[in-house]
Amino acid sequence: MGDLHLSESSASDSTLNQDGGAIVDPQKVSDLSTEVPMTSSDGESARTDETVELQKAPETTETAGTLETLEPSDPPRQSKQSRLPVSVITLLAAMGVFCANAAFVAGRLGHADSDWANRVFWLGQAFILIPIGLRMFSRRPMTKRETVTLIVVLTVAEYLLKVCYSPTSFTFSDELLQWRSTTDLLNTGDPFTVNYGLPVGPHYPGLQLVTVALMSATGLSLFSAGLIVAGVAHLLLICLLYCVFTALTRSHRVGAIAVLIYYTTPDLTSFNSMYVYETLALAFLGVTVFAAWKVASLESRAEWVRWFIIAVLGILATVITHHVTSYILALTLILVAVVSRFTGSRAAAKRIGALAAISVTAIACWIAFVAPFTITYFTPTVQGMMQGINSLLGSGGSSSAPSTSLSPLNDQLLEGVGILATAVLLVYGCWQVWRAYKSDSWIVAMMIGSIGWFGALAVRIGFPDGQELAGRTATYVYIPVSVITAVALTRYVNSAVVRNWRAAAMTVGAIAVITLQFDGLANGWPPYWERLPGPHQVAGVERSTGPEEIAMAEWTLAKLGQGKRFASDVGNYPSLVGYGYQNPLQNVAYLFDSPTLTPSIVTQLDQQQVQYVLADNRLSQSLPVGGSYFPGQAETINQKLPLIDLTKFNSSGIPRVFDDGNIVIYDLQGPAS
Amino acid sequence: MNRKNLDLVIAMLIAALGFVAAALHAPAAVTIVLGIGLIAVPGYLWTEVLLKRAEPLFERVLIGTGLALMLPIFGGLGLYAAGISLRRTAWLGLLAGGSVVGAVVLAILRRRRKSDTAEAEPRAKIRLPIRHALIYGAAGVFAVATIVIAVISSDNQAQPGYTQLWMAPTKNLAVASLGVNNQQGGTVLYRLQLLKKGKVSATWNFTLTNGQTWQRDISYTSKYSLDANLYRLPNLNDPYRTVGNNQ
Repeated sequence: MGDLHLSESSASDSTLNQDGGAIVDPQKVSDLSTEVPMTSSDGESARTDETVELQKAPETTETAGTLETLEPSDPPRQSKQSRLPVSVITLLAAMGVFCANAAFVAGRLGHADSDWANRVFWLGQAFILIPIGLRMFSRRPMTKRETVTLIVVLTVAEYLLKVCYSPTSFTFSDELLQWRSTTDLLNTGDPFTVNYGLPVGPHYPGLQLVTVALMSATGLSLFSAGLIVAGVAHLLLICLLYCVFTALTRSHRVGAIAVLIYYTTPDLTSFNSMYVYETLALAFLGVTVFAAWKVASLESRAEWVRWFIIAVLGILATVITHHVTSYILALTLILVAVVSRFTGSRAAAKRIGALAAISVTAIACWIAFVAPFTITYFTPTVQGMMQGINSLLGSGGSSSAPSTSLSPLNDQLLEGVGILATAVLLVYGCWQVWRAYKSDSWIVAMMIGSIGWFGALAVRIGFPDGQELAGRTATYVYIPVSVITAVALTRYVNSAVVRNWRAAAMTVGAIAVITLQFDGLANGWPPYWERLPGPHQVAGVERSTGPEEIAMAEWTLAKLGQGKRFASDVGNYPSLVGYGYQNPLQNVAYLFDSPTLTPSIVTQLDQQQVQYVLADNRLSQSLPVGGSYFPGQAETINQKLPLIDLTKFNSSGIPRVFDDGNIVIYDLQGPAS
Repeated sequence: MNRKNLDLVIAMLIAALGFVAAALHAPAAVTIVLGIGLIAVPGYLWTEVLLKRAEPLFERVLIGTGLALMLPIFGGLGLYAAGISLRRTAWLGLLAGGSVVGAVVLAILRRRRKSDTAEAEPRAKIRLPIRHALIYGAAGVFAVATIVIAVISSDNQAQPGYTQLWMAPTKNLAVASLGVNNQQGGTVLYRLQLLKKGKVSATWNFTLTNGQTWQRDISYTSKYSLDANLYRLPNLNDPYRTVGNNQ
């Protein structure tokens, strides 16, 4: 980190479209092949050993549009090459993956809960995140190609870690649900086959269609094909976000920093790169938003119509692939259209408005004609949110929202610092946008969208199941948050207050972003109690899906048939759905809260039409790591489940059809029921 | 065919080889590489149709990838709507068809867009010094080694052994499947006793290697108690596993 001169904003590269809105020629701001980022005052381009030698390509500096950049322009110093070339950073990232994977290996060898194994994991993450973060914030020159390389390296490194966590099979419950739908498509040739674990899933078959197509063309297994589809989709999303951020901020460095900030999203490296339908839909969302920006920016009708077609295809693919992502996309397009209308760019407003109308129509048609179940699926969620709002309003801010098991103090502190830092940067960024970029419709739309972060924070604190809802929301909310935070950082570094301490300011910025990234990892998924793979855990997620549970689930499919209504604990739930193709039920905790089978329990069993009860004796041996033993269980459990509550069925005349020492299955359809 | 359409020829060649490899069940490595090509080619061709070559390469690659992912979705649903079951042949036909149609449309467009080659951006010559190539290579080695180690450690993760015992009524309710599966990690000697009305009606002694299953059908009823106790020899005092109709 050295001293850094930050160029003042300039509109020199901006042109005005016919409606008076500021537009930027996308060729100038995002042409990888023609951009030579560092040009000294005498016009000689600075170049590292790794930069591309361009032939015939016009050399352009990356001057800002309406936003300031983080580029240095101190001629004597700027041509200095970084002491940390991108190739070395790539090697460090690979070593980081190796190091973190060593922690995974230690976990599998029985050291999952040891402090040193966890420290090795964080050391590996440090090898990945810190060099990339420091290089991005460095005053040294960076070509756009180097920036792209670093973003790809970061994405691939984190994805490899996700793969290394579970390298031979899907273990996360949502992945198993998708696995089931894909297997159904393979077996039946019908993409809409019922999925008992995720009833709404088959109504959005995009992920399954792509995976099966890849399997058919390559002969790969479902697991391998799924990893490829999820990995490519995730990388595509990040690269497209980089393009969008670069386009919006008119700077590939600021765009890359916005991507780094997006990497603070808690579930980005886990849930959003898993084999789930949201992962693929997010890539299509990225395609659509980038194409929409082109549509709004380009003046030539022949040009923007091409991108309009791509945007429409992206909209349709998103609608077919994932419900919530398509709604967010529609909202985004509506927001940009409305803001464009009020910021004077009428042509852009019309074009984006047309895309928004297509998006809303496509969603409505899909729900009406293909996926009417979507409404039923979301009704409990909406009701829960309404209850949460009522609870918040009624109790003056406190809520009865259950909390999952508390994270370690370090993680909580990191989370608090992260929330505070993000809030401050967001407020500052919004203020800066309002002050300086009111005429930039996309930036203003991002500013409005970023306010959703505060809403997500409220959901997290006040709503039942708020932590999960907020986590899911973060994926979308952090897109505008990243842009506004990047703007805030840029303006902060450019501000007169810190101009004399630019190097220090840049260092603070880098530390802030890297800290936020660690916060996202520490408080995202997997949670601290299964950060490392290891032995079985009671009522966990990935670590509750092992060979014994999978074998049990496969046995149920072979001997009991598919789609049976099971009462099970939360740990066996995903195996039953994914590998057993069964229909495990929510809200079955009542079944295990007494030492005898009371008439009240029998009545509830009848009402729920439970066919089989799965009792896992390990529930009596330890507390649930996730906070609750059973799916849908509201309260946080502080006492171990008495063994008699699990074994009471033995004396109730209910056939005991399966026993593997830990797991026992009772057949309620038997003679006693 | 002039050089302008060389990419088109190469793309179609890759698609054709991918189709043939998948259809003829070529060796796995060949099928995987060419199969990925078969998936990617329509994305490339339709990107060439929709976007000018003047667009930045990076953006064209991203849009091409996006379109390659979209084709199976739109095409798959189209086939399904047409009453075609989405089996392997249908997918291969779709991908090959998407490539052919894309190629034809592109060829026609290129005929019309005579200035297309003039729009093409200058090719960037990549110069990667040997030391950086070596560093990137080392990073690749680290990545591959990491994956290999992860797979090996996952496959060899120590798991507590277990034995499954079941007695599950079949579709014919008078018959039940009685079975034992050994997953203890080694060979185990078992004794299985079937008790009717509390009295031993049958006994089986058997040895199962790890992963092996013993299974047979028995007559089943709910009129009297029917239980099965599994013993892990030499312990004959306490049943190791138990199942039954609990009558």
